[in-house]
Amino acid sequence: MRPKGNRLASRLDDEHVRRYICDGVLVLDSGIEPEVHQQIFDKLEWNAEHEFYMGNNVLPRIAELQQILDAPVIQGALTSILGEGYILSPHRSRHVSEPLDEAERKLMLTGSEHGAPMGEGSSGNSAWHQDGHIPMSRARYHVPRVAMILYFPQDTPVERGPTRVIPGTHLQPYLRKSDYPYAFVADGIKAGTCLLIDFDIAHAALTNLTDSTRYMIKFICLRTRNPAGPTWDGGEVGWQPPKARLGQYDHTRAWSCVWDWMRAAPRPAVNSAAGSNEMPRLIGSLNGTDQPARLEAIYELAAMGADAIAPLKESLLTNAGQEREFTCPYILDKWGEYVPVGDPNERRWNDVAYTLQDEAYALGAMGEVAVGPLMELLGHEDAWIKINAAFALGEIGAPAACAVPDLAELVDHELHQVARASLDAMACIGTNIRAALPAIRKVLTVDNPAWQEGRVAGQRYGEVGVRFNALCALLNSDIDMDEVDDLMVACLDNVNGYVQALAVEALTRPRNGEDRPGLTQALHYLKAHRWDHTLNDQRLL
Amino acid sequence: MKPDGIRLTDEQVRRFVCDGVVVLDSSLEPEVHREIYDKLHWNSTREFNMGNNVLPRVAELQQVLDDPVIHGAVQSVLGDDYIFHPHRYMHVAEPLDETERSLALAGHENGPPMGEGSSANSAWHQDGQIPKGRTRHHRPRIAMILYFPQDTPVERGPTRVIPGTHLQPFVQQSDHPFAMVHDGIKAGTCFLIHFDIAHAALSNLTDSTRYMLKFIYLRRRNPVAPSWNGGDEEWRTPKTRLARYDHSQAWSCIWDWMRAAPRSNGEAGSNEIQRLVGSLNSADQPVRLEAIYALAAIGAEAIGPLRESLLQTAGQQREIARPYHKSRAGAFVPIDDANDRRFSDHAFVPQDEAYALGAMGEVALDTLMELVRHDDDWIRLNAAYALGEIGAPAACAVPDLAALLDHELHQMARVSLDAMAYIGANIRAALPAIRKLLTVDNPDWTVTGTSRWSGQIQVRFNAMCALLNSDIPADEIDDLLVTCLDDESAYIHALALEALTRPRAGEDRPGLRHAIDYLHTHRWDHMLANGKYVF
Repeated sequence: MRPKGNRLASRLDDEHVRRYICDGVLVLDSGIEPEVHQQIFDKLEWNAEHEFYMGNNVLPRIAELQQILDAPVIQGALTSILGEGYILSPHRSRHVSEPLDEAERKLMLTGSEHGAPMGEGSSGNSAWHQDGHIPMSRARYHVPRVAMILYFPQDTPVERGPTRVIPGTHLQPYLRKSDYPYAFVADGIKAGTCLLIDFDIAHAALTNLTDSTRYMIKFICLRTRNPAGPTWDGGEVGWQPPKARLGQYDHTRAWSCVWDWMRAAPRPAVNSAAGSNEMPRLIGSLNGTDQPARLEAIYELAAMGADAIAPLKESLLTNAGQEREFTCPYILDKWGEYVPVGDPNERRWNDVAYTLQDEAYALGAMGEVAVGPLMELLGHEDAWIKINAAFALGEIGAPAACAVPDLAELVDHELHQVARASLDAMACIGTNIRAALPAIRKVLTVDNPAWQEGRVAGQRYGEVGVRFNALCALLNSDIDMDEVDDLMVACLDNVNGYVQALAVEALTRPRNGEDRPGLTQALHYLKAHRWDHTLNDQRLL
Repeated sequence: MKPDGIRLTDEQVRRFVCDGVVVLDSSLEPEVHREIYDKLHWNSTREFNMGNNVLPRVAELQQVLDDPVIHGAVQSVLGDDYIFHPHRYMHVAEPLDETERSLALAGHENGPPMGEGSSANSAWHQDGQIPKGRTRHHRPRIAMILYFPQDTPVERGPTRVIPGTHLQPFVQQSDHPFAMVHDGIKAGTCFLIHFDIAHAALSNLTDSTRYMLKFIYLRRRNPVAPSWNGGDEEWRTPKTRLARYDHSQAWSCIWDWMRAAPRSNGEAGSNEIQRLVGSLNSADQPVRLEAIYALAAIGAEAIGPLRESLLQTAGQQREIARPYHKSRAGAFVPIDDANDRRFSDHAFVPQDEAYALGAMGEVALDTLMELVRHDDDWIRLNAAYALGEIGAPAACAVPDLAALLDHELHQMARVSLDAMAYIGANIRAALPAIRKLLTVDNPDWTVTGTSRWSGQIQVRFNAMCALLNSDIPADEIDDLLVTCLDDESAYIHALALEALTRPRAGEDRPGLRHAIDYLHTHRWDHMLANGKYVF
């Protein structure tokens, strides 16, 4: 039971889900009374004027926001995309877009501008960007594992600068200028409107040409289990394109794969008609800058199955020995955006969010047949190869359960990156996690000084990412939570508020046979009001 | 899940009964206090005084409250399963301007100078209840922990108290010289004080800010046995005490109540009774307290005269709160006679007749049930109060008390609910009336006037206490409690959460218990706002 869910969640229909798969964005009306939005807006104003920006603590400060997340439309949409049992990430933020100086308001905007001018004091970023994970980076997924709700508490016509997105970019590892003209600027956003977006979609704030401040609150939700069937109203038939879509490209093959994954439908075995001539072409398209070509290649190779494994493996291995397991340097560009130094399409570890080799996406989408080869790759000496193999095993899900012991060994790896990727793979596999429990227990309870570089700067350093992912692995796992209660209790004393939040999530989940709706409501209230005391007016997230 | 508390000794409890204050040293490491101090300082200098939200903001404070010494001391005076009140406050005493620091202070000054920006009140005062007034009790039903996160030598201005004043309805100037200015407060020292004790801040003559955190605790159950280490013997005066007066008779009664020891009623001649009744409500504290508890001890014979004396206060509209003003020293004081008994939205003191009848016990029941139906509201308030003091034997009065919940005055409903909270049994008889109060607004009670809070909020607060202290299984009222999570006040939310999250029969989830404790500590009251109100 999701509290306040006495009101039935209203699920998305097929057309909505198709749109979401293609575009990575849906516009939803939360259906909550206007008074609530007004109240939220007023409190946001008060907080901004008389208090201080509270970062993740915006939710307990303005707990009325929980009503938006609990709205049947919003809950239903999130369940449709992320499945039952999704969780709210402890990171959330308030974006402010202040009015542009009156003298500058004559500006003519097409809506596709990169870094459109923002009023002084704005915190919304108007440069096109894909978000990084908080507290620490994780992989960019093609299947919906992470989604965001962008909530507008006030009417936000185009001139007040609604958040813009570029539909379809959620399947891309980076953005190009040629994507910008495909920006979607929702018109007629009313107080209470929410955008449901894929985590990886390109987005940006837009200039506020009105007299009053625009707020947008961002929430992140995480899938906790792989689909066992469609969780929306529909999903009975095979992929069809939506009646209308906004993305620049046609990625039918990728979309169809995502659709089938979401409805837990087996993919038809493809007669590997692709001749050996075809294979080099497809492999050659991987990791390219041509998005339709690379996505087509990934999912066509995945459909081929066994025949494609060796070429994929070979291709992946050419990336070994290049130290790609280390993050590239970043610079702050003139738009205020962190951009990698060097080729933005280069695949490597990244402390914002990392994109794997396309070979790994292909092997992961291929399913069970790739488990053996991936387990072998997991043992490769190169850390980047290990990271890719771990990712792909995670994408395979439950059939990769046999790889958990191997993944567990990587949790002990000297690089936190390897441990993080390995734990996330377990979080996606979801079964046989007991085999990794001793290793998980160790990373959650024993400090590793080598993973604490940058610790003085706050809450965000390698070990935090390891622990966050370790808790996700437990939360998504088949381990009876009773078995890890002591470990979760120990995590309540962790120095990090994110770790504490996820431990609370695990400890408060209803257990077998429990029937205490009153307690469930109380816990729901308490979680919305949970103040992260490790934060302050400087350390916001 | 708190560790087992280290309970107080007989000597400490005797001190608490007499003085209303016990000094405790929490056993935590100095680093914890340092961390708390640093966070408080950061919060105070860069953010804002968050009032009730100081606990989620500086959640490390919970470690102090969970310390076995502190937890055990609170258990010793309030029973094993006390309730943590949702109001708490950070008191700041800023250093006095350097030029003024040569000040020579005796320590008992009323309103000595405070550094600019201080939030602590240096005028002698007894606290009022938050959100609104409740009764002052002689028996320990409410206590406070004052925590000092830094060394607080006298020159840094520790909180002062006047021992013994917790049994007084008001503070006299002649009490001031009996101030206790504790010397040698270390980081981590706590005072356990009776809620009604007179206290005040003191000038800070050092270079650094002094913080003091105040936490309030509520008794949930009447004693069934001593909850400290001891209580086997009859009352004895402690080896040392600080209080100005000897109130042996009162102390002995409180002691016996705390250890649930029966008291036998005595006899007295009618002349003696008249003399005692004549001393009630006097400004002479030893005389009035002696009279209250001597009359209580006399029992049946004293009931008629007490009743008669009480009834003389009818018809004077004493059920209406008196106005208060802020004195020059900075304390809220009543405009007229400070010793005048009447309802108060700060904290109200009933007639001494009511204290006597309440302390008398079961024998006074019939008379009080008659008085609770009297047509004068002040008489009813006093009768209801006294019934509450009788405790479980007054269970038969609950239907009559329930009838008062429909009264037009919120004062009446408040006192009646508090009586139920102290009776603790047969509360199901009042459940329909309580349910109505918690779910249906009464427009006459929602007027706030100059105060932040309306009468209705305190009606609901007391209703929640009546439920929390009652014999009604919480399962039966889960739906009602869930509704209370949407109340207009987060004080009500806090108490509803307390009830909803208590362990139920058959529960065996220690991990969940830890999570619930964690969540209670980190519960932010989203209705408070800097610049509007923070408690």
